[in-house]
Amino acid sequence: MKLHVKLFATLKDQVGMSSVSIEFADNMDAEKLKESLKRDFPVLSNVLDVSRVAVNEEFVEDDHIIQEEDIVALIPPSSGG
Amino acid sequence: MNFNHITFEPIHSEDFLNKVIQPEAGAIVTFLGLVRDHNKGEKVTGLFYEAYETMAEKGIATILEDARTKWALHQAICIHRIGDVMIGEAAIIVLTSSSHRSEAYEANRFILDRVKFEVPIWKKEFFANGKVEWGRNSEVGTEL
Repeated sequence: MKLHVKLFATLKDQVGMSSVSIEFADNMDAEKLKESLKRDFPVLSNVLDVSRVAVNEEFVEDDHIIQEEDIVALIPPSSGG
Repeated sequence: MNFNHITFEPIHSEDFLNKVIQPEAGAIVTFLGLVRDHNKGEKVTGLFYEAYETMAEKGIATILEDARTKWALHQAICIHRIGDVMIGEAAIIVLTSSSHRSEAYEANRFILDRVKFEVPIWKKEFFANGKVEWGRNSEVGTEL
């Protein structure tokens, strides 16, 4: 079961895709999701360390458990305004 | 009055001013965030803004609601432009109106600071020397 993760800004540029797929696992929390992405895409490690996870368009904490139907996005440090 | 908060269109402050002038408002504060031609001592030729649009729309709407709860405002408007934004053009406008000036001033700063720190919008800077870099609002703290 694949989980699609939306990427933005520098994450998107570095990978060259606006979303990536990772293997979904039961009881995967936001922190484990980031660790999984770091393994699959080591080039993103530094930015992932300072990025937040959004689930269904809300920021979540590291211990938030991700469900298979969730819309997940990695949000690097913002620079709007 | 409802506006979409994210737009590809150029921002013209006069369009919004004409709509917020009302008899009860003694004060209108307008903040325009413009693209400047330098950053950290280097010449900038332009910016490109990207947003997680659906989340950014909700984020800005929530921040405006919070501002209306904290201060007695007649209007609170915030629009952020995305896509290419040239030197001298506005990337963001924040308008607040209130009966007396202190609410409009304070709410305006509150809205801008929260949008910069919390809303999923990113700027890509194009420098004259060819360098291209994603910006970071690292100077904005969590205290408001």
